[in-house]
Amino acid sequence: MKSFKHIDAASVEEAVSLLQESEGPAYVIAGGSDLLGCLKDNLWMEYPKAIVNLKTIPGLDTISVDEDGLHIGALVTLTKIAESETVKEFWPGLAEAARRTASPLLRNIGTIAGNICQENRCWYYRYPDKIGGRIDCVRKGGKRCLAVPGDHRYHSIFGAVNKCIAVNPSDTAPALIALDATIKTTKRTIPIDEFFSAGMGAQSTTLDRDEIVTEILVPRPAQEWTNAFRKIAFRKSIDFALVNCAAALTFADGKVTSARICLNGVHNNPRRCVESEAALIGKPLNEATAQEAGELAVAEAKPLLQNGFKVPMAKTIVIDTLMDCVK
Amino acid sequence: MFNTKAVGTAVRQKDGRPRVTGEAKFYADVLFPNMLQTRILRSPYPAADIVSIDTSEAEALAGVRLVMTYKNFPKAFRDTLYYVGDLVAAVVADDETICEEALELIKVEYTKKKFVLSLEEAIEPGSTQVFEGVENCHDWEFHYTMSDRDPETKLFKTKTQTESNAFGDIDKGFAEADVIVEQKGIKYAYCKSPAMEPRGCSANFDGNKLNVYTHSQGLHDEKLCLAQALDIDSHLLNYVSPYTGSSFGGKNAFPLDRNIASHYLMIAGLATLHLRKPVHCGYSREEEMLCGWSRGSIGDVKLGFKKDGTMTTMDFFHWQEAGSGGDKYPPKNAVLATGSVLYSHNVEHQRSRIRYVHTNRFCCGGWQGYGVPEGTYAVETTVDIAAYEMGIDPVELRKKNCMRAGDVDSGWDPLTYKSCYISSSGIRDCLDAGAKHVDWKKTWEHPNKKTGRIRHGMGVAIFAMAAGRPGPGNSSEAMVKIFPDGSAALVCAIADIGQGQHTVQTQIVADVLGLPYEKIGLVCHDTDSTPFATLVAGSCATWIQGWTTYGAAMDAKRQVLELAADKLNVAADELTMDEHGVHVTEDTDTKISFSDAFGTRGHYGGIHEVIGYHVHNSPHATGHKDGKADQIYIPKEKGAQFITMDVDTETGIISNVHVVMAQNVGKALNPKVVEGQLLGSRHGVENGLLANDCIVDKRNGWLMTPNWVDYRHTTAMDCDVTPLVIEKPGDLSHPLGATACGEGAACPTLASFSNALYNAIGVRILETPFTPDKILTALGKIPAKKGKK
Repeated sequence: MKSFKHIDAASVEEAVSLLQESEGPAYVIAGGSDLLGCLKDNLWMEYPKAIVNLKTIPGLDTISVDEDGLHIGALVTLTKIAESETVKEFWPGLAEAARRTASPLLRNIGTIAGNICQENRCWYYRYPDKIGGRIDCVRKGGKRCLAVPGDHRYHSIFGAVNKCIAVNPSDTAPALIALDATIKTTKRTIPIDEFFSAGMGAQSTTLDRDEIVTEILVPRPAQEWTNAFRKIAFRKSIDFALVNCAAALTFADGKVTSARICLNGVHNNPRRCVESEAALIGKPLNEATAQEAGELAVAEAKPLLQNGFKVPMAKTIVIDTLMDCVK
Repeated sequence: MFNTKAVGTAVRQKDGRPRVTGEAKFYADVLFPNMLQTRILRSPYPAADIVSIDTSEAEALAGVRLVMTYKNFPKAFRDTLYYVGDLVAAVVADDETICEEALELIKVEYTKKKFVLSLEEAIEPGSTQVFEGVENCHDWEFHYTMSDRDPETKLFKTKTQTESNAFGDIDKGFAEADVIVEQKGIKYAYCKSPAMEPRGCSANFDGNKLNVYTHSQGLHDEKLCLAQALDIDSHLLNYVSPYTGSSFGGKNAFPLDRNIASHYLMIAGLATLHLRKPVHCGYSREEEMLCGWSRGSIGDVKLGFKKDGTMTTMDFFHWQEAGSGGDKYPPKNAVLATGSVLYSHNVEHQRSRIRYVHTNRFCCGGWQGYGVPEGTYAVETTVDIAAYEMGIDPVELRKKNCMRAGDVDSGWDPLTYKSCYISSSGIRDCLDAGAKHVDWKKTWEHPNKKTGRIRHGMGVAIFAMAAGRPGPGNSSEAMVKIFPDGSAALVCAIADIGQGQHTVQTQIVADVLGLPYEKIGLVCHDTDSTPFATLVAGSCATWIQGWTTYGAAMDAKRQVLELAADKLNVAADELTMDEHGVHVTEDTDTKISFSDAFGTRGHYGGIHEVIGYHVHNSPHATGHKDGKADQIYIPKEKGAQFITMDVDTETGIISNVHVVMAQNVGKALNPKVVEGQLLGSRHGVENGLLANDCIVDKRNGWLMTPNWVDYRHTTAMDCDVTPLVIEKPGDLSHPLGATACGEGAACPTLASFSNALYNAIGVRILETPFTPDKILTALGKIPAKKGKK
């Protein structure tokens, strides 16, 4: 790993000004479980001159509940979310998503903001520079995506964004989308539906280079509701999802009044299943309606030669997640 | 004989505490003042020639001490590159950051060449040649036909070099068979030995000699090889290996062969001798995944049976991927799964054709199982197919045909023997024990009776694995020192690669001497202080080194008893040794302490240590049938494995994997260590369950899985293993009745996994790993991929 400056920030304001005033590229670090891997493998076109440590900023690591809902500080660890009795009781989909992320050690250091800001795991993008040199895929300035003609067994089944077919790997992202969360940053408040935006290089969100997530607000719905999360991965202990899914539904008189369903691991950005959601409104949630929603979720899937298996997998996980929401 | 107190007991492992507390120092912990670091520039192409290489800018960078290429160090580098990651150059500098900067300053011009990346393509006649002018596909050169069977001894008297390993008449066998079952193209994907500690070494020249600190499976083998490769006298090299951070049998170093992953030794050794400064060369995880030993194969199996299920004939065709060089020996071990050994009980006609095949991928090498997992996967899958076709219970079919004690091993290793006797089997006991554990008789169902989304599957496979390389030349040595304070030390270079050998060998010494296990120490960490010991390979250490250790302890004890006998004025054979000293066996009051027996007088004379020594050439005469040296009993690892699982037919995901591993070890010298070895089955499962395959980008030859994220280890949450240690006494080939245990756990797993999967879904998948896409394709849930065979 090449050398860089490591600066402890005492406040959010200081962290922002450090990012703005850095002489070369600068990145923030919290848990570091994603960032350090990127640095070791020398992924980016611009190697950082400085890393700004957020862990030294007080007050960003608390969970609280008020009438607006659940406030999660950006530095709250995944373990804390997974083990919070409040989260488990009212937002079980989020608690389960946090619990199923990575391994206990990584959950102890990994933060919620880091989890939703993490980079994709495409093995061309992530190819290390030590075993024959870096691969310049389309995201790193190359002409084309190497996975399309190459090995894309774990890639997008819903087409490309900017020619790239990597998938978003986060487990908590679909849960927060299903729960209609809001992301508070040092500049603004972003509805979760507008937060994810895969772009070039390290970009996976709409955040500016000098913008830092400070809090995530998960609203408390007015009506009777349920939410759930499921993940399919090779191992139970640790692994990125092949596909995962979160759903949050409200009911009145035994019928669905609102539904938010989100798949991840299937596209560049987490993918809301809007057709499935619409199909459920006004109907009871049962095997037949869940089945229909599952089929609609993958109706527009365009798998490539090697990743067709993700289509029935995505359909099934939508059905299973919805059935978990049956009261 | 002697009382067993430590032997047979789960005593604490000698290296357990230092390993779990972090006190153990591995090679990477060995730091010398001003030690230089190394980084390697690796090939971006799977096949290329270096047209020009300019290192001047790198050499000019402050802190760079040496840049190594084929020009100045032709022993370690070459100008032709055979795989992505092949060595181009190395930089030795004051620290790693400088090394990495310097690597970017080396200017290389390459000529790209055509390449071949898959076993299937490399086999094809006329395919691109990995080594120009040399066919990719090689006959195994030690193929022999056995003939002239002695009617009395059943052993073969003649071996003739031919194109296959064979006996009987294969055509006649199939002509006379009632049922013929054939399965072609059973593919074992290219997999990787999953050691946690990446390879590397630290080398230091101390003014007199070169000291190399590294992990090791055989200190003396590796040292001799390195001395020869560096072209220095053996006495100038001390090879040091205090701890090895797991190996899975894949860390044997062969620096003489440039195709095998021992480059770190050559780079650090040559740089240290050149610079006269300590040099560290350690691989990153990515380099380890790239250069560590691999295996992969394709097998065709054809079986002939009598109507009642008696297996009479086996034809086996095996292609083993050898990458761009490497160890060509593993494929011979695939023969252990055939009628030559595993099914030797009834098979009368046997043919094995073994090929090793080069590709433009990193080297293949032997690791846990050393060819047996590949052979067993092909044979045991086909035996399972036969069981279903004939309507015979898969367990019963194996019980009827598997090897038994006294059957003839017809020379899977014909370099050393024409044929010999199998000293013990117990496979049928293992099948019974495993079947009972999983309640096979009551719970096994034919796949066509299964319905519903989640299908439960049960599978079984048996195996036979070598126990070392028996025969002339495979020797081991040991010394046992007894001190006047009543403690003792085993001086022995046998490697402990996590399999518990240091513990087990010390247990043997404790019981031979009658001393408490805690009183026995070990001197084992370098070649300067120890005599030669056999390489730890093929689960041989208990069998070969065990004899040696036993002999050295007996020799030391004899000398102490003689000293005591002299002082006590009785015959030595009337004496017994224990932790208090020596006493007359029938009169415990007539006794003498160790120090009195030794006559120890501090600095002023007497005997300060008694040294016993033994050299053992396997096999020991107790393994000769009726004392005849040409009729020998050779042990094997052997057992049966059952796997149960649930398959989700909507997602193709396999869950609730449970392995029951039953193995006959003769005598478990340390039951907990043996159980630990059987738990290693978990790592066989990962190559079936977890999509493990060294996935290569077909257009460029890049390894897409160079890390633990994309190449996975099974954890306890993903696969539960129940070890069933079966002890069947009576194997005469070892002083304590032990045989071997270790590599076996890797051998049957892919077959039993594959067989359980078939039992669940009713469709046979013939290519590992057994991923959701293959399962969903087999079930017709997604269309088969076009253009793929």
